[in-house]
Amino acid sequence: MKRWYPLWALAVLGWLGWACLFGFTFTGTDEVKSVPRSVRSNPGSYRSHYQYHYRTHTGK
Amino acid sequence: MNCPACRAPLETRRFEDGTEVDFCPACHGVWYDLADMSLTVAVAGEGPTERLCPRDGQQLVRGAAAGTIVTADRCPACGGLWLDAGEVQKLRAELKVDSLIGKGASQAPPPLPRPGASTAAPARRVKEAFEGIAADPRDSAYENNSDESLSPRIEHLERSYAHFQTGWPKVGFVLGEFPWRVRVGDEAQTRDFIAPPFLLSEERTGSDRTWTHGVYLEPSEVWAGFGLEGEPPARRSAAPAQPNPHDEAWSVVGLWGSLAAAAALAVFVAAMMFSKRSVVYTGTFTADPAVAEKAVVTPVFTFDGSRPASVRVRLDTNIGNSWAFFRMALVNDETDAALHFERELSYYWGREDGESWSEGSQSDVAYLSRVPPGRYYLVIDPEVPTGGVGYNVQVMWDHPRPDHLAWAWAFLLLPFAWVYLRRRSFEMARWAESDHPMVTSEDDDE
Repeated sequence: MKRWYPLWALAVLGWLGWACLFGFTFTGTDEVKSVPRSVRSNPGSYRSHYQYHYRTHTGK
Repeated sequence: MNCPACRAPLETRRFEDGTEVDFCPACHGVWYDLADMSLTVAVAGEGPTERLCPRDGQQLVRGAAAGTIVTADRCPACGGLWLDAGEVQKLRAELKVDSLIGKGASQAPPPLPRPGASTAAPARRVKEAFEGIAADPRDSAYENNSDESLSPRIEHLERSYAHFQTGWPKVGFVLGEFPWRVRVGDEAQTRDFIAPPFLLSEERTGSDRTWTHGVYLEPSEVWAGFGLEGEPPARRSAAPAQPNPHDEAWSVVGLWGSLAAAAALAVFVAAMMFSKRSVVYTGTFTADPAVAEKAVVTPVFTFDGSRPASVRVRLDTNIGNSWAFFRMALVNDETDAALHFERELSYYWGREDGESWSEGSQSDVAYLSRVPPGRYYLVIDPEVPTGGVGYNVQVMWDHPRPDHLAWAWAFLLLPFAWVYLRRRSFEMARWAESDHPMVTSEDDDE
């Protein structure tokens, strides 16, 4: 513990600095490539470029 | 000369410097003449004994030697000192000297207290502090109380010893040689106190009260001390005075963990100070389900810089007792690549029994990671159940995520938690056989 915990702490600090500088997320963001320019004038057409999101419409 | 304890003839051992000691070959006690001692060992305590000085036949006085827990007998006439078997080593350890023999102790010892004047030895150096418990260990309140917080403690040589167990041993059979008379059926009361690696034991037999001080030795040390071959047996559980093997790790993790946690905060603060955190776009819109096309496209904004960074997208709405769902995409105007993300907001509030309550939030923050510099625009496709919902969108470039600091602290805390559990597990094993177990069978039954 005396030897590896300082190394572990340094690794965590290095990760923190890298994550703060460049950004990091444990859950990925969906990336869609080649979005057509027509989205600028017809934003509703964007819906066809990603999988439809099934969600439960709940509320009080 | 005859042994004060068992009356066997003493044998003399002489040394090169002219000093000599007399020892009993039967009970292994040692007699020191005053002139042969390298230091003065005063004896203060309980009073005269039935033992006689081997030099002049005077009645010896017994008490604590040099303020330690070692019991010794001194002749008030010639100043000689008698130590029973094993007490020589203890006294040397207590006084931190290699030998009691040498030319040097020429001054007379301090006058002894009058017989019966003080029976508190070794009370001058041993102080018992009971927390709400009577001093007599046979008191029913102590015997029937298993509350650890009421455990008595002993303070000795600036060290605090915790009570481990009390016993009432009874001699069932005798096997071997003993320097004192032992009979089957003899009873005593023992109390053990620990301050690992030290052990302090009290034995009460009739009016006698004997303290013993012990130090835990590793099995390898015992094997080496006796010159035994092979390896000692494997450990089982934990000995009362055994040092916790995880204490060092606890100290290391505690020290380094504290420093690392502070360093993590410093790293995050530095990152916040040196990041741009620039607001590149702010816009206000209204989503109305009655309108056919609710999706909007923002004007193009620029992320300037030389490295990828986090993008912070904040949504502020005016929803009330409702929900709103936003499908969004950050589209690179140069490459036509989009980062798609979705946010769901709900906010409900009311009053019940005169008290107001609320659930959810009207605002939301999303972070996109490692977004390269460039020109971008945002596509927002809201979904609302009823009515017009106003919302404000703010896009901030190069904004470190606060939860990164929380994750860093969690990673730093993981080894701390691991060491804590292992340290506690050892202590539970140590105290399991004591009068103060950390987990009782009643707790298990519950």
